[in-house]
Amino acid sequence: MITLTHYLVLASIVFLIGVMGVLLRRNVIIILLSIELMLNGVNINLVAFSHYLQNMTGQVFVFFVMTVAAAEAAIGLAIVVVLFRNRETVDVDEISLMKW
Amino acid sequence: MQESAILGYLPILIFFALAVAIGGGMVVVSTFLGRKNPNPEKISTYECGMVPFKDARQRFDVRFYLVAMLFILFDIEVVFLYPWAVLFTRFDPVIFGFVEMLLFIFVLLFGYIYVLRKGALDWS
Amino acid sequence: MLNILVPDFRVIAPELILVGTTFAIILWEMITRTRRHVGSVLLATVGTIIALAVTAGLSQLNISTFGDSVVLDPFASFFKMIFLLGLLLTIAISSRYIDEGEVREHAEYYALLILAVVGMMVLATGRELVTLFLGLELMSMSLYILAGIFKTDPRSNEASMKYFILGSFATGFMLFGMSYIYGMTGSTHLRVIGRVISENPGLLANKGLLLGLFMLLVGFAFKISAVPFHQWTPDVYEGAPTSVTAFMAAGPKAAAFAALIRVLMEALPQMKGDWELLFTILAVVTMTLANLVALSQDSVKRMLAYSSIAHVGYILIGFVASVGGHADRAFSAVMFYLLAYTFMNTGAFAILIFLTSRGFHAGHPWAPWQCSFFCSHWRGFPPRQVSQPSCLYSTLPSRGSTIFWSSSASLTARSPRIIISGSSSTCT
Repeated sequence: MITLTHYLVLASIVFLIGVMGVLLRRNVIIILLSIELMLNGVNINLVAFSHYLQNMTGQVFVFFVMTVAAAEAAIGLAIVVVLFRNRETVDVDEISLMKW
Repeated sequence: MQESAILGYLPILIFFALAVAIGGGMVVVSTFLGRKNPNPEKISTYECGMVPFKDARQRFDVRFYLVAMLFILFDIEVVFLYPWAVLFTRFDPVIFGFVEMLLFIFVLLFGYIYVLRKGALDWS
Repeated sequence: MLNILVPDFRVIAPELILVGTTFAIILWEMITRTRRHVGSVLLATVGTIIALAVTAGLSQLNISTFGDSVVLDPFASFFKMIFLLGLLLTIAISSRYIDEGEVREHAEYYALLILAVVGMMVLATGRELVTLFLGLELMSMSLYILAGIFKTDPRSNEASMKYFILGSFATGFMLFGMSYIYGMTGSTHLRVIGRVISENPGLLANKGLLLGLFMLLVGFAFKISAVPFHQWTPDVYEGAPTSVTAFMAAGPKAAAFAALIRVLMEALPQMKGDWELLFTILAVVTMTLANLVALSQDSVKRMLAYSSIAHVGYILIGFVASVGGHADRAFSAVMFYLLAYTFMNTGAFAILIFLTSRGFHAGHPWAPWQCSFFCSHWRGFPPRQVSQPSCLYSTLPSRGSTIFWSSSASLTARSPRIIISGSSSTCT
């Protein structure tokens, strides 16, 4: 039987993979993907709670998280494109002019 | 209860096994039985009739990103249309739900006109 | 049947006016295709002034609507006024600076400034987690782009990139916290959450709710840039256009504080034992570290960034003080501090813009004086210190040790700052 706990553990794992990706990877595109992964971990949480509580709010929340994540991805890609035009790299270590 | 729920998926498993067997079987059978008569034209990569001219692992043009970005933005907004459409007949003043969605679409349309006007979709 | 009560649009009237203004600005630019900034500046100023007038006119109301997800009370009105005044000041200092910076996207610049303010206003009025999340994202996303508005300047790009990555990282944490709070209490409405927790005292020991609270506070700490979540601040402040830095240093922080106060007071007052400790640590570490690091900066913008981090530490003392039973007095001190901080900070950056383009020389005999006036806020010039310690001491008997520690840390942390600003005004 798959219980709420299983979903919460899955969500935490997905979220943590995202966190690790942001902290450890050096390619900006991969970092963007990792941020999406964090948000999707949260989405699993919300849907699992929503089903467990028999309450629709969680699923409505997921809709908003999804659209915001799309907007965030668009802005992130736009920033990467502008950055690449000026610097010819997507490596965060090479981007850094100021002390990080 | 538990068992019957899993049993309900049995046809899918059978279907999946059949698909693998037929698809894989065709490749295996033609490998063993087919006549092989290779020449340089035959073993070259097939690319819609064009002669392949470059390695496929190259950097994508930045314009693809631009179109992808715009696609994601307008695509994902459809998510709000589904619950609205399902509940449409149950809005109490129906006109209220209609006008609300009209406003939403108007904002999207404004964004679309902005994109067009800025020339973000011009491919040249 | 879905019975939809037609909502009371007065609650979001200023927001609607501002959104209309952004449409007007962009439409104007699309039609005229002008390179001149006058139209955008004029439209932005007029829209902001109308919104300010409407906010002032509605400031006595206390109503909530949209199913109790937004509320207009004097608290929200006060913050809306701060944001709108900050916006007016920012428009005033940017018109020349952005023009000289060769920014072609002037309509977008002003539209995004206004949209960021709409996000802040939603943060101040939201009474529900989804609404707060949307307000926060509207504000943050506008700021990510604004930080990179100098498209050809690599530093501006870098500031935008760093702000974006760390900002969305923080959003992820905050959302994770929100999902657990929703899961444990079954609602996203702040007041329902508060009621559920007070009716089920067993929840207070619940690990899931604690995790939710902790993650939510981590997210907020990123947004207000409290140490140890402050790493992005100096880089972003240094790389972003100075007018945007001035804007970012004041409004968005005030908005995050407004949302934080509302969440803590309406949803989680029962958990004050947990968050008091966290805020004490954050306040002490923030004040000490920010002031010490500020001493060793050689860029004025970086120093101002650390100064703003230190201010966050002082403001957090108000949160610690609120636990003692005089929450309203502690938070009114916080609100007054934020108001004074908005003006003094924008002023300091305005002088910075003025000096980078012209420098101190005989033609502008007033510049050094104005500079030391705005720098005097580091020494606590607006007499807010009078109000803050008094609120601290009024709670002293009940909450002895934590208050003592944080206020004494505040006094010691202030001393290097006084030396710095003293020497800066003697230099000028």
